[in-house]
Amino acid sequence: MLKEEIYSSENHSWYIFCRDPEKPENIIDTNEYLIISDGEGLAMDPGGTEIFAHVVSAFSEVIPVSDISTFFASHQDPDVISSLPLWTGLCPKAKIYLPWLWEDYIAHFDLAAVKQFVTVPDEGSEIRFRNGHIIQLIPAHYVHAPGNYSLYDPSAKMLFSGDIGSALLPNSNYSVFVEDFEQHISYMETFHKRWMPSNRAKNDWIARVRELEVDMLCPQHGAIFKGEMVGKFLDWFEALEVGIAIPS
Amino acid sequence: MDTSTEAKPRAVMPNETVIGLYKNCMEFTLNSRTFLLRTTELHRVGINAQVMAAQSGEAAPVLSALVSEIGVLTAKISAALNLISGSGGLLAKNAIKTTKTANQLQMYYQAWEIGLEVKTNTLLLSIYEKKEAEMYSLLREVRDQLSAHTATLAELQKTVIFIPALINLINVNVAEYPQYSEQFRVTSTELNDFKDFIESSTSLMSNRIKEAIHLINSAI
Repeated sequence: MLKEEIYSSENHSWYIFCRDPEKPENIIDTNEYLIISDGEGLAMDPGGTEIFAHVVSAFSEVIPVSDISTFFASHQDPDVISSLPLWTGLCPKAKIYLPWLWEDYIAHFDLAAVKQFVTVPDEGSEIRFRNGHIIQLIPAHYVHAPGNYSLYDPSAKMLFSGDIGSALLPNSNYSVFVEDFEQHISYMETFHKRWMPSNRAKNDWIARVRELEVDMLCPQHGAIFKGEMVGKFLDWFEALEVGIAIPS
Repeated sequence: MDTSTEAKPRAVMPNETVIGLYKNCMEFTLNSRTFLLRTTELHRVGINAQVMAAQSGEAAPVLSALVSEIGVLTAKISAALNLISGSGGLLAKNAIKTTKTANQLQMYYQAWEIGLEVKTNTLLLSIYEKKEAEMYSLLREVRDQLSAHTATLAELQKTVIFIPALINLINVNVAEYPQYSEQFRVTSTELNDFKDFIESSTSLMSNRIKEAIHLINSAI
């Protein structure tokens, strides 16, 4: 599994874990992200059960797993959080931030973990590291799940966007960052048209993100948008007609 | 990755054992529920005989005896089955819990094989040991439950010997009361079917128990 530090300051880092060559076929490829702030870890969309062993091994290369204090699930999908009981087994005191809407659903993955749940209200909320570093949870409802959030780190100017910006890449050698935007469209267009159900919700999210300073937009599948690619993605997404499964 | 530790988790139960144990426990539980449903049919046979008795006049004493014998038989079987199905839910729950824990242990073992940083490795090994102990304690509990059912099934098998005697009682009366021959025939056929059902079901359930206990013993 590829591990790369994508942001670093004196005491604060972002890592991506992706392109797992051991990943079983027929399982959608996912990116896992980890923020480490003064030795305290926050894992974003830690992934499905089937890839847990590789993810925990890769995480442990950058932080003892016992130092992960927080898990964030952008929504309820199995590729996002079905590994929950395996993580809570190792981190029984960690907080699990998740959309309030999915609390009873995610409990199906791990009923015993409910006591660790911190439900995020519709308007979003914050996660605070022990060193005072604040992370914002930005509403992203209906893009694609009806209860859905992006995670924004204001000091690092990093945005974890969940399924937004995702791409189904042709192979595991694909670059971690988007290099050729036009070519990349071919890997994400169908995904966004089909998975995102609402143009209104999509544009609401874009308007929120345009108000933020974003150096990197980090999706759960595919490649990261960095620098000018962030704006290109937002423009492209804004113009895209989504929710196309129903014939007009 | 260098984990810098000699400690090694005990290999988790093979998948075939986990699945085999789950399958046997669930099928045993389902068989016991089917059995219980079938017993209600025996109640119906008893009620049919009771109706016949009420309508029959001169045959009433004989039919009342038949009703009474069927009632005794049904009570014996129901008591045994209630014992089994009462703990059937718990057995199924424990089988599911064992399967979940075994799967969890498999994932942890896989992570350990891939390699973990020392602190995480120590944490994983201690959690592994704890969960493994929980699972084996659960397996012993399942084995105890299954063993208890062996005796109950033997009791059920014994009830079969009463059925031919009941059928004989019916056959004796067919000659004496030819006007009820059709009803007698139906009752004796149903009793015979039920005897076959008890024999095949108890044999099937006993085999499930044997297989499950064998799997548990090989795993512990």
